[in-house]
Amino acid sequence: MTFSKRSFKQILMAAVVCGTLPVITASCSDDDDVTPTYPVEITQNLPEGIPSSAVVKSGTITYTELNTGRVYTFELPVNETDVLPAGTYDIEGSMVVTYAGDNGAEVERNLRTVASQVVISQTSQATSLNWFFYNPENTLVFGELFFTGTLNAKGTSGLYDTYLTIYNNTDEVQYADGLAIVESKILNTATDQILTEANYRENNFTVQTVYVIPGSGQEVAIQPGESIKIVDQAIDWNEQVPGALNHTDADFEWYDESSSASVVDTDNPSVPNLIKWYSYSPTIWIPSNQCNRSYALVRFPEGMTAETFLAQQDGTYTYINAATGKEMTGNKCYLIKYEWILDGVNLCPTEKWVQGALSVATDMSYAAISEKNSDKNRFGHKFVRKTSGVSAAGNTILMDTNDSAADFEVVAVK
Amino acid sequence: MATAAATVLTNETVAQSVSLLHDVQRTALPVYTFADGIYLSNPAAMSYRDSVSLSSFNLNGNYLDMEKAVMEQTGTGHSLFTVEADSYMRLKTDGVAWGNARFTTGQYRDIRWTDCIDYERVAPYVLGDAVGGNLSTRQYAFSGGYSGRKDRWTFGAHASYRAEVAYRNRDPRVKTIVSDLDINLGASFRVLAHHAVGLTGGINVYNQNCDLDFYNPINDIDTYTLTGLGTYYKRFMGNTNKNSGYSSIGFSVGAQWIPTLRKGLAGSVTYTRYRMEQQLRNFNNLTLGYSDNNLLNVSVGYTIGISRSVTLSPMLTGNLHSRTSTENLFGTSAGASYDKIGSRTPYTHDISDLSLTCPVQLNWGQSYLTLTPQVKYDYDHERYKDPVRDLKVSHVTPGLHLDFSSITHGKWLWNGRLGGSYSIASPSTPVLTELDMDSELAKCVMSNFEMLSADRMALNAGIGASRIINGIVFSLSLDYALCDYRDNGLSQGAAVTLGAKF
Repeated sequence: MTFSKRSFKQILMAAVVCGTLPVITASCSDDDDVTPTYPVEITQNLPEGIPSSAVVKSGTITYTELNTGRVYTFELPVNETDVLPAGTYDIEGSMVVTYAGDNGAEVERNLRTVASQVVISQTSQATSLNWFFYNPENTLVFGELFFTGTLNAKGTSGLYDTYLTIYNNTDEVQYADGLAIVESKILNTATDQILTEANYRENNFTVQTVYVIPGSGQEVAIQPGESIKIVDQAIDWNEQVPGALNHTDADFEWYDESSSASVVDTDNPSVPNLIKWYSYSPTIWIPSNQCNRSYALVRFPEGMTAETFLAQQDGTYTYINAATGKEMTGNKCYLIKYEWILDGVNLCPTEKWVQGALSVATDMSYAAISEKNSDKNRFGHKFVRKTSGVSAAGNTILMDTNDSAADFEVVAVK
Repeated sequence: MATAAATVLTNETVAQSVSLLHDVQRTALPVYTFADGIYLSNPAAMSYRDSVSLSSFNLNGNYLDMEKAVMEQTGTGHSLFTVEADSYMRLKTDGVAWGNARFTTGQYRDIRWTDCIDYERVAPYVLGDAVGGNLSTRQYAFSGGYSGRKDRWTFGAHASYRAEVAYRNRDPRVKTIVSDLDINLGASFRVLAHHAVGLTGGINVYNQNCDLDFYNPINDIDTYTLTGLGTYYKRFMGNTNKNSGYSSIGFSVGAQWIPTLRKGLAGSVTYTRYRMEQQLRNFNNLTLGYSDNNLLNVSVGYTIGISRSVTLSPMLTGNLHSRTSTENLFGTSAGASYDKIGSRTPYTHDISDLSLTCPVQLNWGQSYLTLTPQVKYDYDHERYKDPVRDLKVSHVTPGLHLDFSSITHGKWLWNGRLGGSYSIASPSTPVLTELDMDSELAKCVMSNFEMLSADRMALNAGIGASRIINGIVFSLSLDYALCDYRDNGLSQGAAVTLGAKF
């Protein structure tokens, strides 16, 4: 075998071909195929009461792409340069809008929106968002209210297997230590005319019970998307009436030392009791099973104690009795400032509704357990807050539009 | 007369035995094995592979231990035991038949971030978790081919099949089954006295089913649906998405310049393409993504006898593997059904190398000494578009290998091997935007990159002894390899092979 010039040329050519491989690699590898992007288009559905002339003062909206987990945040109002890649998004936003109120003064409201699995693609780019009123301080809300009780064995009234839950409506751990559950003094069916200005519903919330969750600040943690259950008596009611609730798993119970030997409360020592700052009742507190009062979650100012509260917030008032036309005095009640309220809800059967004990800003409507006041079908039914979406962190967001008629639904307790 | 005949037979047997020992020696020489790829790449070329028949039976134990995984997805080593039978037979009909059967069992150690095997083939779309663990394996492989000759033409067909099951008996429990079928057809035409032009084409059908399970009822091991360079489908992570499938159909075409007597110019170019798809079994076999792979292999070599005792066989080899991966985007879900709303191609991975190998074989008597200097350049570039991630490394690796082979006393064959190389890495600054560097996934990405971008020094040594007994060459060989990934730990491997050739 000889090593000819021709053979050498063959080898050289092959070397040139192989030597250019990395260059070919580098030059051929830039043919991008990127995800198409589309302008952020939002159709705003503002809540009732917000005029179309309202101006977005500030706000952000966050799009979380479900496939990739990527998060895109835009300032509101969005502008032409804001674009989103095609994908499926969970959306969460909040904004402050301003508008001229009835008296011409500027009104500022916080709004929030959530939406799930919104597809942004070539054929679907505009997003319709339903905004609702939102109090940034509303970190904890009522999740469920069961005040009618399970129908008793005689079928005449409800048991005391009543309860409520407090839900963490945020993506961060919240602490319920020191939180108060309060019940209105004034019935939502009442037509009496309140004379004392401090007790006007737009000024203060007049309450007749104040029960406080024990704890020094960070002892009662509620994880995001979770709740705690507070019951009247933490016992297994099913042992008394089949089908009733078992509350032995409760987080807290409200327990009253009764002044009457014939009306006593039951204490489960393994379930901590709420601290009673005040109750109008000398015996036991029973939430209205006709569901015609208002309730609120209250975070008192730091440093406030039962003594200072009772000393400073006396709510004794005068009113004109609608039936007799006579001026009378209402007592055994205290005043709650609205800035202390995290969440409030008016309850009332539809036929009896007059007005809420809470301000319209706190609850613009009411949730009804039944049409008629005496409807026995209300027993065994509870108010459950509706779900409005899932947060960017994957937690269920309950509806909190300060409009209880829209926020709650009534469902069977079992 | 009978005694004379017996003497003739005995002499023939001795002659055949000595010839077999020489064939065993010859077919193990680097100059021979380096050129073997040309013949293996086209079944029609197998007619020219060798003029003698040779079969073998081997038992092999292979152990590899790494202080740090080169890739966490391929683990920190293995302990494998292989039984293998191999045959190349020249038939009376001027045809050639060859075949191979292999069984391997053992364990891959500490595989993480993939619940499937054959990672480098199915990547980047795999299911994986940070825990991982050892994988036991059983592998069966069979292949067979035939090549016939007619005038200046040769034709050939070859098929191979591999089945592998890999499993882990603790959480995360994995049971992976692979089936891998190759069918190749080829033809060659002798255009010169000692050279032929060959053409070949083939298809590959690959399937892998990976079932994942957790027995611990309070299992908190999250399974990631990985999409490359630390990205993943967040929507499908968790513990619900446990079963996945990988499938591909590929084809390859190639052309060869085939020396019929193993001398002169040899060349081969092969193009392979396959699309690897990943399906999620728990989501109605949802096709999550696919990778388009394009591979080009080019090799050119020349074998020349400078003199009766010196043979040169320089070879230039280039490989290119370009992978682009497409992720499907899904819209709203109804149960386990998802609407596809689009796709994007954010991931690319280009790997190429070019190596020049120049064995110089010296021969005296029944001894051979082969010096093989080699220099190799390789390039690895992995990218993700959004979020932008970019890892790029190239290496230049000079090396020198020494191979010695000698027959003594007409019945003993001795082998010795010694080699070393030093790889100088040139990494670019890694770009890893939006990667949480404290996460386990980021640590995996960085660990792999650290290993890839480390300079490394490799040494290997081996000895072997063979003896012919009753027309069968029995052999025992021991090999040891060490690789020092500078500042990133050592890798050590050893292999023992007990074989019989006949």
